[in-house]
Amino acid sequence: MSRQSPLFPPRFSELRGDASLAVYVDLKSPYAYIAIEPTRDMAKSLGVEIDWRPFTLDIPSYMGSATLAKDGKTVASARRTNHQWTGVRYAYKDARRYASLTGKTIRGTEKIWDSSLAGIAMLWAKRCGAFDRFIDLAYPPFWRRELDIEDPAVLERILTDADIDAHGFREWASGEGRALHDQINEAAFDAGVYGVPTYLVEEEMWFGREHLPRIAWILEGRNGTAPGVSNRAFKP
Amino acid sequence: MKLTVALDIRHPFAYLALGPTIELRRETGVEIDWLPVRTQPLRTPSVPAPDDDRGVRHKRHRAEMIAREIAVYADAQGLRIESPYRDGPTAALHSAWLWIRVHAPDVLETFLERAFARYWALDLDPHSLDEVVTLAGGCGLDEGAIRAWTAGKGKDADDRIAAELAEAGVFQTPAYLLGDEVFYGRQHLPMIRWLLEGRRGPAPI
Repeated sequence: MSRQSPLFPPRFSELRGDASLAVYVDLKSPYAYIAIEPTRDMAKSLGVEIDWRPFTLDIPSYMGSATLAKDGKTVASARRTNHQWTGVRYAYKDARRYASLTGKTIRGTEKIWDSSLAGIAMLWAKRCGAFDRFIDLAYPPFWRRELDIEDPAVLERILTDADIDAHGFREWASGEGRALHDQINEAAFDAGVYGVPTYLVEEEMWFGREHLPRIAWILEGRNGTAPGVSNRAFKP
Repeated sequence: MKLTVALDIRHPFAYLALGPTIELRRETGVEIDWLPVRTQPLRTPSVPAPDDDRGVRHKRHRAEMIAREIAVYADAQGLRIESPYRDGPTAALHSAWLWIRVHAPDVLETFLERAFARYWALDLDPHSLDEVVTLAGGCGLDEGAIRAWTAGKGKDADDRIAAELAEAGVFQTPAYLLGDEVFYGRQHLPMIRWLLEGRRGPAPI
């Protein structure tokens, strides 16, 4: 495959910018959650820095919507086709079986969360050089359903627990931070990002951690045979 | 432990999975029950329009990503995939496939490799009994027996398999059924190998 392949329009590398590897994630995606560790391991093994970026999924726009009743088990309201339900159920089951291998808990969600404030908190943490610490403290409790990520006070507490000064976060989140988040999301979506985790490397863009072998192959200089897709570990 | 693999010849992801799955079988010695399945065809990326809403744009981005994945990974495997959005009937191929599964299982992988390669090179109509039987004959199989099976029990067998796969919840291809688990996609082959080998060594994550 040529490096100038028309498959990959220039807008992908323009979106990547100066980063060697840019990765889009969303707190409310179980697939993003289980991709964090292998992505970090892969990057660490190659000495590559990751430019993490928030991408807030607009799930109802493509997967319909649903809300659980107060009992947390039955569906109170839904605008989903049978095919969409089947896809959603499989996605959770699939994420769960991989998560369980590393001791992670993924509970079914109660609603489609608005994770934009959490995305803004990611940007705040990134500004403070503590993106990893923040998501390490936010992902596990969120997926145990112990975290209301729409509550700014909860996010302030997570930031503080991650040794990040949260003073001014709330004001920033309602102004400059929100604008930055929206700009990042719109630029990504306009370029073709539609899910998480999405990876930008050289001129290529990929969705899903199964492409990590190819991303590593590209970062290593495309030596040898190009690998296929696989969900695999990158432990040293 | 037996591995069941359900493939839809009309889906490029099934073709991309065929070689790596055969490789897994060779390396692990697992017995594979190859089954034909019909799933939803790929969506062609829509043409942009001024009034596209976010959902339409999302689906287009996804379809374009899948198209890139097919092209890039087919190239990496040295496979030719022409016209990836084809749909159409596959009854003759399914019937022959199921006959071979029972009467000549040792030849089934060779038959599938040839059938998939010719289909994706626009050189096989999976609904043409003549073309499918000729292909089977080229694999050293009994053309007359396959014709007779197709005229008799072949369709019922295909319908029964389709019903069993639907009952198992299979809705995509390639589908891997191992014990109570269903996996969609060749990206799961490391996990399937790990499970087949008794969870020995580090988990594939």
